[in-house]
Amino acid sequence: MHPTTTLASPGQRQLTRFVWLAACLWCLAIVGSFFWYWSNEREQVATMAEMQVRVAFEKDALLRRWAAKHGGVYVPVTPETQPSPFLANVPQRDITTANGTTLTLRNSSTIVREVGEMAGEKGLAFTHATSLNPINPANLPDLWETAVLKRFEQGEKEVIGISNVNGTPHMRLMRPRITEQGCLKCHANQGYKVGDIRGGMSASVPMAPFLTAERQEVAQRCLRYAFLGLLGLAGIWAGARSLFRNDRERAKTEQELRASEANFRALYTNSRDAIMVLTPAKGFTAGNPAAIRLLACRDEHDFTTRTPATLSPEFQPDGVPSSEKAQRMMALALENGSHFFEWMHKRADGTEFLATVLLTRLEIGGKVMLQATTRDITEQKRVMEALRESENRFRTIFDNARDGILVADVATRKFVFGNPAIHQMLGYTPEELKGLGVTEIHPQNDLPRVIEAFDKQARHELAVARALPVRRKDGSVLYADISSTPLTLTGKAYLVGVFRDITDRKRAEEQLAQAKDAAERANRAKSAFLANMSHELRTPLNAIIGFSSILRKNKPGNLRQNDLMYLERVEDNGKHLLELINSVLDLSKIEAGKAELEAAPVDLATLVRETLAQLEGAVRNRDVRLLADVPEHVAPLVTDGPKLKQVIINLVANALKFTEHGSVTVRVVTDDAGQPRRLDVVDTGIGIPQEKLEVIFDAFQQAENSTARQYGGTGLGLTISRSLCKLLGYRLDVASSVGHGSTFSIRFNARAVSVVRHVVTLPAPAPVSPPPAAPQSSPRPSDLRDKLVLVIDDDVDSRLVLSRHLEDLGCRVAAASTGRDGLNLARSQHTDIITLDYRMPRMNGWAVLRELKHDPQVRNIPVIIVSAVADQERDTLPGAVDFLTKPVTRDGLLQVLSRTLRCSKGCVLVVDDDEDARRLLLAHLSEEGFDTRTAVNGREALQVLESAWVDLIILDLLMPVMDGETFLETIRRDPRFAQVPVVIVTNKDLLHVDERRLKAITSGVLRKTDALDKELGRTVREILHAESGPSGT
Amino acid sequence: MTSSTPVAEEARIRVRVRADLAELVPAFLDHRRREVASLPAALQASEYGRIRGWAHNMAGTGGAFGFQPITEIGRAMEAATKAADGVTIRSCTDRLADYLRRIEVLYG
Repeated sequence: MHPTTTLASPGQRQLTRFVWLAACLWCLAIVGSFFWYWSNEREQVATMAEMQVRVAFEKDALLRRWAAKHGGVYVPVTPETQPSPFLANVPQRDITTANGTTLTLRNSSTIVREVGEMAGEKGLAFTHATSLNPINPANLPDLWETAVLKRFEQGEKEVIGISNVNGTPHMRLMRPRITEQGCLKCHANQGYKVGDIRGGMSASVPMAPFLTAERQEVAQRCLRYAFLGLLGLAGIWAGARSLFRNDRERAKTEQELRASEANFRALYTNSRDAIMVLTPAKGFTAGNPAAIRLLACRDEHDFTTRTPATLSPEFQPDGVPSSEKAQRMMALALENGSHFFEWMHKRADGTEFLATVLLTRLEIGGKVMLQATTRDITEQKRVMEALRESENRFRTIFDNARDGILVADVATRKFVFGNPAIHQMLGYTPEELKGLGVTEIHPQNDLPRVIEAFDKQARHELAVARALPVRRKDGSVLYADISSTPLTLTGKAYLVGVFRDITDRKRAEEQLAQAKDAAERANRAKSAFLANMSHELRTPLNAIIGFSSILRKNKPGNLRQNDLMYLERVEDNGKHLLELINSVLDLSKIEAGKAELEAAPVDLATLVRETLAQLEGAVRNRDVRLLADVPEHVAPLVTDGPKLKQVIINLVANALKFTEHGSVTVRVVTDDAGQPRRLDVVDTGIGIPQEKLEVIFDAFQQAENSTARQYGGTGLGLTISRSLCKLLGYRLDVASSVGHGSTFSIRFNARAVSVVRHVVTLPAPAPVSPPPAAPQSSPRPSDLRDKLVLVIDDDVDSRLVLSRHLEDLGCRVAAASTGRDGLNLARSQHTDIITLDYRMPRMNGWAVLRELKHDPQVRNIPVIIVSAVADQERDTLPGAVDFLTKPVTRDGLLQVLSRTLRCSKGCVLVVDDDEDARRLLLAHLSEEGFDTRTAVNGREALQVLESAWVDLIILDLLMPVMDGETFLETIRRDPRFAQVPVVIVTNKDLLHVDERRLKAITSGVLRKTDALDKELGRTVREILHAESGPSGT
Repeated sequence: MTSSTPVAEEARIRVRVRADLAELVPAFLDHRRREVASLPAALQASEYGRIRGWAHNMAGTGGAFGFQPITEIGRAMEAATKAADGVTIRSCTDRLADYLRRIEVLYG
């Protein structure tokens, strides 16, 4: 179905039908009219032919009658007018005139026939006398004439009709021929009497001219009718189109009207404003739902029963009666077309509200009405009041703010207005300030910064411009933090800046910065002082402890018991002093905030177990048991494990010190989820008086002065412990009862250690009373027998103590008081080990070490740093195999020497990305006694080379990040590492040429499979042995 | 299944490894087992570079630990990666898996 059909309205469909009907009727009328005309035309043609044939008939009939009346007509005999044989019996058929001309008779029939023949030949109307019994056979009738003659015999007097003559249609008229007297001259012999019907006479008029004319006329008429028909159809089409258009427009208009009506209806119905229609006489006649709701009416009917007066209080707020004022308002609206006013309404439920009303005059169907649009403005009034109040409040704040507030136009950077504080701050009057721009209240030099800040603030990119210099009217400069807020008012961009005068603060900050600089300088001086003091104090202590230790052995046997006792006291006091120094340094470091934390999950059970194992020696041969009370499941604690361990050691050592009998228990307390909450160190010792419970955490304090004397200790252990706990975010407190022991509790806070920083390791924990450590290995002095140890130390006492200990261990000793002498000795003697002091005048330990390691002759001699500050230098002295802190004890020295000897064959760097290969190589090298370092690729290996001394590099070729060949090229270009021997250990299928090239720049190329088995050790030994030269082991 | 036990016993491969490598061998074998587990997926993803790395390391370290077949499998696998020969790699993977399953390490 065509869409238009479906879319046509009923009206349009009806109209379409009407148009089709009109077109059909018009066509019928035209066709009918045409055929009617055609029919008339034919009749007219027939009538005209009939008239013509009658005229011809009558004319020839007259001619004949005349000829018959006169007995015929004589005509000269010519070839054409020969005497008629049919008149041979007529007397005087031929006559001769006086002049001798022969004439022959022509009777009427012959005359008519011959004239007719002539007319027929010319296509004109002609007559024909005929008879069924003619004298002349030429007058025999044709078929039509024969039929008509027979009809005459039956009595007809005239026959007229159309019949063909010689094949063409003719209008023919035929009447009977009655024998008259004149006729008997020729026909008497045929037996005719006057009055007999002797035959008939016909007249024929050719129809061709009539039919031709008719056809032409009909054709023309046909065209006219066709034109008229088309014209009519066009008219109908135009009319229909116009009708359709009108209909569509009407439909569209109707639709728009309906839509508009629906819109207005919706507006009316859904309007939040109350819309009411009323007349002054009848009151309300209609109201929308909002009106009904607003006035609390039940429905529209209820509403329309009311009047403005009944829906208002008796009096309006201005005191005028509502009824009177309502009339006045309506009169004004009617007079002026509309009127807007405020009105106090009263709802049906009696409540009142203030509203704005717009009364508009309406004329509907000739009736004058009023439309009231009412809006409840109670909330609006409240908001306005609040706004007014708010504005007053802000105006008060604005005017009384201590900070200066200045509003600037963003486009012009000119000030628009400011509060009194800014006027006072800058010294300008409001009028003066209004004319100024941003560039005029800041010093010239700072303008680029100021303008940048202004523009950034205008773009919301900067909230506060800090410490901007601002120039007062009198030229003085103040500093202000300017916090700005961009805002748009009536389409214009403004920047509201709040100026806070920070001049005083800035000056204070400057003073503070100066003070801070001074403090930092002082702190640096203090640190340097402490470091120096530490060195200076430990150095003589080294001698005191060392010599007293040596003397106490009483090798010559000449010391008395008292002397030995005195020496013991000297050594003990020396050790005590050393502890004290260490503790003071620790505490100083913690309090200076230099102790940094490294947080990691710590298994408390393991930590406690390890700590107690470490302190096991302290209860040996004593009536004290060391116990652990740890739940089966303890969740890991994120903390700095070493520092927590130091606290536990301090607390346990402290407990052991004051516990003669019973036990010291380390107890871990967890919550239900296994999270550690507390760690208690519980002892059964002497206990602490209540009033001393807090004092014991102060530096150099013990519960009783006598305690220190009786039990020893520095009095710093608990102070350090509490400081460490504080650093870790924990609380350390104590509960005790004299005679019943004490409980020290570390209360954990799970989130305490959250910051992981770079780690600076504190010196090894120094318990208050250092318990004898469990032997970790069994160094044998016999291993050291006849080893030549070179002692390089500028301090004579240190040299002597160290030399004596070394000799005691069976070593041979060479000593040097300067670095230079030490280097010379190292080169000249077959030195096995060097002990090197770090802090020496002129050439310090680092310089000596560097020179040693760059000299192939001595580079493989293991170097032990022996210093009062050895631990602090651990990270800065790559190339040293070990570190020993002064004062040096015999046992400590033995352990370090033994360790060194085991690892003294050289340091080998293994560079391989395959973990299994690395581990295997390390296993082989360790077995051979080589010290090892590892790296997983070339880049990591370069980092190792930068930080540690390496004697040989075992290098894999195929590695990610940086492969072996790139690494090799890199180190060969670097003069520092160019000479380090490299052994390539690879599984790569090398071309012959590649292998030759690599062998040229390395100390060997081994297949990994072989190298990992047996060849590696031999190769490394050979290389390092050759490298070490005559001083090698 | 009791019937399979004798077969398993017969099929077991006993390898004697130096005692000083006892600490390293379990990790070494564990690494290989992990590689065997990852190999099918790597092969599926045509990660020949990754497979080549594993094969190269196997070839380099297997024999050194005393597991010469691992070295041989590694070599074959490494060669196969160069030709992107997945069939050989799969076959090597199967051989390695079988070897690892049957191996019994004796130290000393």
